[in-house]
Amino acid sequence: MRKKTNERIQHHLKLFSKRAESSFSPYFAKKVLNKIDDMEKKEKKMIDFHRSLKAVFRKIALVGALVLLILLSYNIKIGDNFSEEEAVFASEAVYKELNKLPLF
Amino acid sequence: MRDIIKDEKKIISQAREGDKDAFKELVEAYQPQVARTIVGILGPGPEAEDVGQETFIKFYRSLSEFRGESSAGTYITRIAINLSLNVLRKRKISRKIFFGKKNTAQNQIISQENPGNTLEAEQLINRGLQKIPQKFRTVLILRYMNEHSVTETAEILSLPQGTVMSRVSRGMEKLKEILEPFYKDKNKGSEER
Repeated sequence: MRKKTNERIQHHLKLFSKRAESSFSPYFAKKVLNKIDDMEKKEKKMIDFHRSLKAVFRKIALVGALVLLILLSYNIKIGDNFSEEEAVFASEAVYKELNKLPLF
Repeated sequence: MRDIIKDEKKIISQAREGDKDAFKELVEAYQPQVARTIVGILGPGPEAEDVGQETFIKFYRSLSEFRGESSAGTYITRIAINLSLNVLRKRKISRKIFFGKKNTAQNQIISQENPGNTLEAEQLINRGLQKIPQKFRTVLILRYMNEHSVTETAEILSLPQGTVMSRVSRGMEKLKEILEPFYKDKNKGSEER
């Protein structure tokens, strides 16, 4: 009896497996490929966006460095006596004020 | 494990290089195996197909890491099992949230219906499978639905062969406990008729 039940269960498992293997829609492979294509397109867009962002930031950084250099040379040129602190707008008074702050 | 398609390695290397037709061939070849595994674990429905799609997408993404140490079938089946188990975990959590700790809904469905008249054999098996613990269910699905050998099942699940064999027999016992009353009822029904 138990052996018969075993065989019956195995037979029914096989029947269920046949039903299961055809349970995905007929265009399953196409759907998977479409999803992969969509995913790749999105990723490509993100990469392009990052690249353009990087290019913009590089320009901004270059312009910033150039402005800093111009200001630096301007300060050196107009200053009576040259000091590093004055060139970067950091006088002794500013240092003293900064030292009073609890952060330092 | 046996290769389902001829020149599998060649097709995989073509897919790895971005050949979509080669990948489609892989999907079509392994779709039945993946469907049997996922539907066996989760039961039929749109959720199973979503997990199926996710399985192949994950396989596609990991093609560059796939070294061919195990067969593609083993590798894909492992992905399918892991993703299905994730869904089961999520289901368990949402069940706990909405129904409390013990969910008796499925038990009620089985006991209320008249198996002789309304439940087909496959539905009965599906419900029986959903009722046994996941570790036994997975082994039974691989052995009897996917027809993998004990060695192959052990390889897929990364388990010793002895463990697989004991899980098969214990799983069958559990399934029998659940299904025997229905089979008896069905027999009675057919004898009475």
